[in-house]
Amino acid sequence: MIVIKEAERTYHLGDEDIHALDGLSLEIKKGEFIALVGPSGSGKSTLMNVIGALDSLDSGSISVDGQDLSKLSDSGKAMYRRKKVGFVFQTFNLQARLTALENVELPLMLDGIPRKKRRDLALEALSKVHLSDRVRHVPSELSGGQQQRVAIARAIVNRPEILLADEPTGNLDSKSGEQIMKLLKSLNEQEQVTIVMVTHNEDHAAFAHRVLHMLDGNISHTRNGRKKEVYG
Amino acid sequence: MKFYDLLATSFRNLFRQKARTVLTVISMMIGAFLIAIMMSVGNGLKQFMVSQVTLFANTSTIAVQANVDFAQAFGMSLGGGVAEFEEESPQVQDPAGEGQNDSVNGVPDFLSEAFLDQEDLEKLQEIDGVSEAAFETYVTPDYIRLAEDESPKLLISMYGVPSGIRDRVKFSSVDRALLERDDAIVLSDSYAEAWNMDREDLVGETVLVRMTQTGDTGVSGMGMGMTGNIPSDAGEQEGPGEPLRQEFELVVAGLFEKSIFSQISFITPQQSDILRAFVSGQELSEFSEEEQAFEIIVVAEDDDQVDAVDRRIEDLGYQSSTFDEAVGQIGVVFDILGVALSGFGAIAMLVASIGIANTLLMAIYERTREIGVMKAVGATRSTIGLLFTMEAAWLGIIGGTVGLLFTKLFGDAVNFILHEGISIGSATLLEGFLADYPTFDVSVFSIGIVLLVLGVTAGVAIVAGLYPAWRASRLDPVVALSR
Repeated sequence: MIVIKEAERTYHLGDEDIHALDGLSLEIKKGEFIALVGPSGSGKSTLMNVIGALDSLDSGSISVDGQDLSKLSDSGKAMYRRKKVGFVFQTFNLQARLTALENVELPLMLDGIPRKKRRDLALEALSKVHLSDRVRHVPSELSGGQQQRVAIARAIVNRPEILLADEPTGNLDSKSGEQIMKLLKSLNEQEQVTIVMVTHNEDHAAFAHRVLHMLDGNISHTRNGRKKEVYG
Repeated sequence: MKFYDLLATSFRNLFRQKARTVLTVISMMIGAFLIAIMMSVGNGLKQFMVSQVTLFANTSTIAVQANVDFAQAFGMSLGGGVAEFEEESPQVQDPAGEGQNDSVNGVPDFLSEAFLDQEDLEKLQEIDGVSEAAFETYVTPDYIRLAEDESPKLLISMYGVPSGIRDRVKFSSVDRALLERDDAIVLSDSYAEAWNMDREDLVGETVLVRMTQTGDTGVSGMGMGMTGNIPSDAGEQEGPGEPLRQEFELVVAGLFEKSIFSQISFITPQQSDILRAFVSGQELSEFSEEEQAFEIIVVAEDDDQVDAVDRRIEDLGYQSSTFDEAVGQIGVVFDILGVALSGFGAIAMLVASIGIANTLLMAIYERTREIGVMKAVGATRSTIGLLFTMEAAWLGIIGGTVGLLFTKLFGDAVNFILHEGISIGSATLLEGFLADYPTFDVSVFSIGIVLLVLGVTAGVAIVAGLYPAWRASRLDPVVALSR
């Protein structure tokens, strides 16, 4: 359960103050699938980064399962990101020199898990994203959709409770995008992973339980996601 | 993150910009090479000097001198400045403070204090664990020649030393039975060359040394082996005409490996007494009885007892120095020299460390986004910092290793060339300067150099990497990911 209260986050760009989060309050239940939509600069990415403990609040609070993230030390935050959260980026952010398998192993390596075990866990994660036949390929040998699936495998290899996906389909063609969305949906349904996803694609937003519209650092309105046909 | 994974990941990162890595390693290599070559040359010179010392001493010997402060005796007090004049103070300084003023034969009083005499010799011989003790004396003949050959050669000095020294000279050829004889002489093997003989043939040959009677007792100046006999009838004058000359027969018992002291030789103390008695014009018995010397060489029964014997000698109030002490002093000098010469290498290494810092700062710039991803997937600041620090350490260690390899190759090549010279076919381009010193290498590589150079290169590199590592660790992941 993610609880955000009165969140304020202001960036200073030259003389201008940008209120990326402006008094935002939000509760996300465990196992929920949330889509964040809204114009760029409305604070979607900042909200994601705050949930992922990559960014911190100027005021207000955020707690995850009762843990106040602002109270975590640097290594505590690193541990939190390693154990509880998985990140998926629009541009995949895979390491170009590493194979798919090595990319997926990276969080496990940071966690100090022995070689053999991390190989097994990474292979398992790659099979979940249907890439068992591409484990020795480097990113440049993979299509965009395949690269994003590797990135998802990397995000879930530690079995996180929360998956933070920042425009995961933004760089993909519609067919690959659809595949990624189905993958996220099955992770959400079968593994009860809480998903917070930024998207500009209305069809993809419809995969979520709740769609939050953001404007000027706050939630302007909320609507129910899940159109029937998605589940058809 | 596991240490092994840190090592492996940072190592792998070296290959991302190969040209830059190679250039950085080369700069480190030059520093390592300079340091290592200077130290190995220092090592070579040190070993050479130590091998020279081993002519006059070995691990069973102790050099004993009277406990006299020569500096004070000569009116030199370090940092003492000029003393105030006092009316009551005696005109003549008396450092020994015993009120004696019986300078004999023009020998200043404090010098006679510095002499060791028969009484001292007997005291030392009686010490527990001492097998023999003898005055260290030397005498210079006019020449040395083979019995059946008329080509005399110069011989600078013949040292009378106990068998404990003669027997343990580094021989190139020796007849141990002859070594026992009182008339034995041990020469440098350069005399075999001078007389065009095989070393083995020269051993056993009879040689003649010519002495000239001067009435000189040997007290002529300060220095090693300085020896003095104070004649009872001081002031004896040589008569006019030709001085008395005589050739003495000696047998060559062994040849020692050529060293910088190629014109010295070793004889027995007994033989030294005979020769010096002749030179002084005294009877042997009279000469021996009154013999004095600056140094007595004491030989311990075995090497393990040297330190104990050394302590007993010092307890009796003498100054003494063992082989290890003498060599230790030489070692310190050359170690300091090696470190001083390594200064060039240190400067090169400083430059290299700037290169390392630059390389890593560039790498941070290039990998900013990747660092952000690493943080997003759970890397701590210290993990990021360690990765960069270790990358620096790798650069240093690789540079150091390559530098050491070059040092080894270069040193071996120089040693080879100095021993063998350079010749193409029959044409000699360069003489082997060290052809006569087969056991002397200019460059002596050692495990100590390897460890020190690797330690220094890794250490310098790590220090150079600290700032880049700190910068990398402080990168804001949100900013890094947006790049």
